Formats: sequence, structure tokens, C-alpha cells
Amino acid sequence: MHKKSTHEVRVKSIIKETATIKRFTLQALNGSKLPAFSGGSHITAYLPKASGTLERSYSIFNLSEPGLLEIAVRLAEPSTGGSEYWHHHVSEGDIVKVSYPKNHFPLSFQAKHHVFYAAGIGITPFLSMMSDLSENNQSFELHYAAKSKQQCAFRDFLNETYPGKCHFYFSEGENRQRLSAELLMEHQIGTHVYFCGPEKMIQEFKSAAKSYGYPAFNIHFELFAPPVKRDTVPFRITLNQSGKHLEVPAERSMLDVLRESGIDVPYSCKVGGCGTCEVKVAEGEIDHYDSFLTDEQRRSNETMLSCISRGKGNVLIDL
Amino acid sequence: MFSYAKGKRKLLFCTDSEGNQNLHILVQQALNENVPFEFHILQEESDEEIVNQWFVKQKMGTYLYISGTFDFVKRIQGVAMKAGFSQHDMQSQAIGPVSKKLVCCTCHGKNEVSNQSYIVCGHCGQELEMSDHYSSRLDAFLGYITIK
Repeated sequence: MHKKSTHEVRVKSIIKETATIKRFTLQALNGSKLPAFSGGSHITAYLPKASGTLERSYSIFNLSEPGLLEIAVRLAEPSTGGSEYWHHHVSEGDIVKVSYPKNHFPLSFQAKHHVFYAAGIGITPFLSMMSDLSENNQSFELHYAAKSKQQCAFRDFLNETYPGKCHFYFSEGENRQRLSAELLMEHQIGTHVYFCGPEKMIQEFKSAAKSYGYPAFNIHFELFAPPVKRDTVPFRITLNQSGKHLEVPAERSMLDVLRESGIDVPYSCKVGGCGTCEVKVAEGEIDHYDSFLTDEQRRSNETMLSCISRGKGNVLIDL
Repeated sequence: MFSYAKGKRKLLFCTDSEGNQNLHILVQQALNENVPFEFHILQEESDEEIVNQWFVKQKMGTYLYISGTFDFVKRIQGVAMKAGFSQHDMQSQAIGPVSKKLVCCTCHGKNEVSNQSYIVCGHCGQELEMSDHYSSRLDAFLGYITIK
């Protein structure tokens, strides 16, 4: 059965969690329940802007009644459009087009103990993960860094709902404390760790975990945005089947160029995290910017994620 | 054969009296690289609770080698998995005859095999080829239909 990939929801309520973070509660238009989702899931919102439709992904959670979906959006400075739209152009009662829930950041089901490391708005995927674990009586703890108590979204909720399991670190004000990757040294065998926050924090925690000997299998992370682009330059692609040549300009992705030329490459996260838009490479050099492929796959030079990675010169693609 | 796990903060060597020879090269490498390790030679019927106590106090980044007879390896592996070790945190090597289970892809019956590559399913008579497709839930390998 073919199912539409998007649907419309109504903004039931908007709560200001901190000076820069708003929580949006979404409900079905006909009052029925919205689809269920697993811990770590997200939705993609399609935001109509004068310059075209923006696609932005947000972790979903539910701290209110069953059948609703909630997201939390931090107003970015500067905003690339998504957070500005939610904060300044969305009101209670408005209708928004969103995707069905997807999960690229699931919980491990082999872990003996789960440890979440969040910075800032990176707390959002852990709200649904902790809810799932708590329901199943599984063992977990949270380490959550924010600038100050005032800027720490959901702090009271977390303390009340998961007493003793949440540790907070504030970088400003009295009793400053930094969230340190050295905490990773203390976890017992069988622990899985999850990181969500700015790219720099994720990189730091990922490399610390690896340096302590963690297997990649036990390390999970979610990037909100693609890795900061290095100096991107245009490149050319040649399609193996048709011999067609296409230019990928510096400011566009190969995925966009392929789709515009009528090649229906599937995609999902658009930040190099899920692998949906992978294409096979027959010849040519690749600059990998994704966080999905293994080192071995990258070295093979036989595959790339078209949403984020780039070629050098001309690349022959198996399409 | 064992391979040396690089970049680990600590190594554990667990062996019976049969298996300790196999670990010497690894121990030497750990010494050369200054990686802390613990080496325990256990009796065949060693107390599982003592082994469990040893395993549960380990931190992430610890890597375990198990060497010994098939039954010993199997038993210690079980304790390690319960304590939190996964297949990504350990290597094991059995000395002497091994005994594996093979699940028939036709009738789902379980067969005991040692080192054979082909067997005839004792339940339905299908000729089966041993695969390396292992199910930890069933503790068995999948037996494929032999294509001739």
C-alpha cells in the first residue's frame, strides 16, 4: 500500500522553555492520535519560505498526553532559516507539514547500561530515549551541559522524572563545571554511550571514547547539522549508464544536482548520517564529510553519500 | 588465530591449562606496548561467580581473550556476555574438538557438528552446508541447502 510520506499537523501549544528554546506540541488535524515512535526518532518539517521550502529535522518526544508529538527548537544565531521560522512565524493553531517519524539514532538493545551526553538543545533525542528506557526498567544516566540553569531546558522535568540519574554542568555563573569527556573512562563494561550537541563536542567525545578503547559498536551520536563545510569547490560527475555530465557547484550538493536532473536518488537526513543517499563510485577521488561510512568503506573509494560528500575533479558514478 | 587488539586500555587473558600457550605472543605485545593486563589460568570447573566478579568490575575499553578447550571457551564466553562484554570486546579460540549447532534451513531442526563443512540433517535428511551466519539467540549457525 502506498503511504504518503508527509502529513499535516496543528500546533496545539507553544511553551517557552528558556529565553531561546521553544517547545511546540503538535496534534493531528482530526483529533486522532499521531503515529507512535521509538526513542531517538525525528520528523522532518517542511517550512514554506519565500525563497523555497526549507526541510529541517527535529527530534521528537512526548512529555504531555499520548498521541501528540513535541519538538523543541532553539533560536540559532545566526539562524539558517528553520529556527527563525519556528520562533517568529509559527503560532498556536497553525498547520505545519511534517514527515512521518524516522529513527536514525536508535537505542542499542544489547547495552547493559546507557549513558547520554547532551549539550544545549542536544537534549531532545534523549527525552524520548529516557522515556523508553524508564518504561522498560533499563539502566541509564544523563550528563547534560548548558550555559546556565536558566538556559538549561527541561531541567526541572528531568530532575523530577528521573531523580538521581541526571547530572548537570553549567559553564557560566557560580560553581562552574565543565562536562568532561574523561567521564567516559568510568563506565562499566557493557555501557553504550550517546552524544548529541554541537559538532565539536561530538568529535571530542567520539575521539576520547575511541582513545579509551571503546568499540565503535558502543558509540552512538547524532549531529543536528552537517559537519562544518571546509572550503568546498565545484566538481563534475559523469553518469556511467547514460554518459551524461553534470556540474556540482560549490554551494549545491551532488544529491540536489542529481535530483534536479531527474534521477530519483532516495535521501533522508541530508546531513551524512543515515546512508540513504549512498551512490556507487566507479572512478574518481572523494572527499568524505559524512558520519555514516566506515573507514574501510571510505578508503575503498567505491561509495559516497551524495548529500554531503564531494568529489575532486571528475567522478564517474554508477548511475 | 588471535589478533592483537590495538588501542585498548587494558587486556584480560583468560585461559585453562590447555590454552595458555596460545596467548604468549599477545602477552609479549602487551608488555612491549606497556598496556596493562591481567592473566588468569582457571581450572576447567572454576567457580563462575568468581569469574563473574572479575568481569563485572571491568571498565569500558577492556578487551578479553579466552583460550582453552571448547567447553571452557563456551562457558567463559557466556559469563563474559552476561557481564556486558560483546563480540566487539573479546576474541576466543578453542583447542581440540569443537561442537557447534547447525540449524537446518528447511526444517529448523538443530544438528551437532564439529569441523565438517557438510552434513545431512538428522531431522529431515536435507544435505546442509555450514555457513558463517551465526545466531546468538539460537546459539547456532545456519545450515544452507547444498547446491551441486
